[in-house]
Amino acid sequence: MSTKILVVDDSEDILILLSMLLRQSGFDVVLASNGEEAFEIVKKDQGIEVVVSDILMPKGDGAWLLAQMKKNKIHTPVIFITAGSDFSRELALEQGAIELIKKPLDIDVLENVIKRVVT
Amino acid sequence: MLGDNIKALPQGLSLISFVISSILLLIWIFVPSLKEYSAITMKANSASCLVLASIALAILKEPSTKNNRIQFFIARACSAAVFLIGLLTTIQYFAQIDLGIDQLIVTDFLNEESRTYPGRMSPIASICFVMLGLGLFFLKTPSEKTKGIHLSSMFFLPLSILSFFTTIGYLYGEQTFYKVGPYIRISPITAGLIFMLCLGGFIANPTEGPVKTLLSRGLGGLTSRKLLPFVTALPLALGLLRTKGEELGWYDLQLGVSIYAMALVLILLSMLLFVSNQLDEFYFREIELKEKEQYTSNKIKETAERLAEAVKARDEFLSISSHELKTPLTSLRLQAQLMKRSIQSNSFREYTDEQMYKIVDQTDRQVTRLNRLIDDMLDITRIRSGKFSINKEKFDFADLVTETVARLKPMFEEAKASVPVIERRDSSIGYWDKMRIEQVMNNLLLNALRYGEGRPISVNLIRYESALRISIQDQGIGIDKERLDKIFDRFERAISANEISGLGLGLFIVRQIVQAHGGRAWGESELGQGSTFHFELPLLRDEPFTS
Repeated sequence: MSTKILVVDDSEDILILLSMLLRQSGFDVVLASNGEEAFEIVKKDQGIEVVVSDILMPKGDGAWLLAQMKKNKIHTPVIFITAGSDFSRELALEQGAIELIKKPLDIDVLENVIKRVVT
Repeated sequence: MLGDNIKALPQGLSLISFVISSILLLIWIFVPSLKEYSAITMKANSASCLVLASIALAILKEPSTKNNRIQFFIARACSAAVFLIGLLTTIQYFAQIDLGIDQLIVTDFLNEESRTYPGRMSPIASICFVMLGLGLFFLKTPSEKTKGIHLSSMFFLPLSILSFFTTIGYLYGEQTFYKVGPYIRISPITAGLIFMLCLGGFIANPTEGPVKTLLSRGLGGLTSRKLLPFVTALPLALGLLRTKGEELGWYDLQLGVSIYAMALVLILLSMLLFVSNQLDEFYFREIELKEKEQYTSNKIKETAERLAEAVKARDEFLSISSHELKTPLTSLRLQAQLMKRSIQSNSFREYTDEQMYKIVDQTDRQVTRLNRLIDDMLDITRIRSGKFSINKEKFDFADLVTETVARLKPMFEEAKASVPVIERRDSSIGYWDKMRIEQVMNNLLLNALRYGEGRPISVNLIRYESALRISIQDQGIGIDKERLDKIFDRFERAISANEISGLGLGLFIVRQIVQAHGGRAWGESELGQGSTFHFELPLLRDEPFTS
């Protein structure tokens, strides 16, 4: 069975592109356009193995999503992707993320991190 | 400067004293026939003392004297000799003995006063020389002060008073000031020269005593130097006028004293006012300076705060703009990687025409977005550096709105907002910068889409006599009334960065463009009730192409 990934980003373009690329590589992809939506999905779907989430989003940002998951004892690993310059890798790891990848992101880098997390 | 002149005084005083006393001494020795004349009632011993004291002062007034041991030795030997002669003569008077020193140099002529002790100087002169000798001897002792007074000053101070008294006595004809008991009087020239040397002695030690104040660079020194001539010469002259006038019968005692007293009061009063005025001026200048200082430091503080704010705004702008630039770049990169992988895996042909179109269209839109961001940033730079120019041409505003709306049609569809229809009622032909006005419309329509929550957006044109008003209305999230004008500033946005993207430059550029046309731009809104943004452009009747 293929790995199930939840991708969260407020940019529709990026969501579509990431889903196309990840599906091509054989992942099962679920999409959400903000933190609130994403949280509802991870709460219900126990099969999700990795969350790839943007940080700066309306209606629940990445940090909020992470905090909510922690509160509800959902320990699915989260990979942050961000275009911002204010958020450092150290801060992301401190908040409980597995990794922080800066935009414009390289799909190979993202897939490597996902594989590392899953195995 | 006056200070330098005063410093040169000891040299001049010692020279005068030396010349006069040595001439008198030479006359004693070589021209006995002139002995009787009153000008030389100065005894030979007094003349010798004055010559020696003049030499000592001339040497000692140099600051570097101590380094030249021979000179210093000569000066001290001279001072000691002056002291010794004065002391021995004083002893002769007190002990009623004759040590045989009085006529050591020359024999005296005998008149009424000098008959008792031929050749002996006056007792006043002898005491003066004791003090002068000591004062000069200690002139260069290091300033191990005895309670603030230099050792030499302890001798010069009483000496100056004593010699001044005798000089005054001669000036006003008061015998008791210069003649003690039955003994011989002190010669006026001796008294005067001793006073001069004493003065020189004071000045030769400028870091001590009253001269310190007189030569100081401070307000006190300045005032005392200015007042010195008046303080010394005026009372003397007045006194002289007072006594001589009465002698000559110009006025009697009462009138003379009244005039003298009145004149003194006036002089003292004017000096008092002068000093007070100086102090006041100084005081107020000080206050003014302090106020200026305060003002300057406040200004600096304000500037620093403004700079800090500007730096903060710039940092925020850099952070926002890099975020805004990276988002379309991410799409572009992912698109490129998708293509690459599709080519590699040979799955490229599996895409339908529609899917292909979507990918390429996306690329196109991301490039447009990037381009717009860069244009905005360039506009800001142009506005900041004053290179923002308007190139007017004649066009119909309604056409421009229709064109702009048509170009933004995909975005309206994406936002699920109905495409606004412009009702063309009046002529809207004017004379403006078409590209810039298009930018204004673009920014306002994009804002309406961005904040409009997918509800209908309307565009209205109203023609006034001298202006055209354009209003763009949305029914979206709206904005707090208090922030309404602020969002026209640079880097200001209606809501925080992570809600809705944008550089915060749109409305700022809108206002700059409209104002450059001589128009105005403003907003009307209420939180949750949608917003309406208006701008007015002038319609100039005498434009060359508006016919």
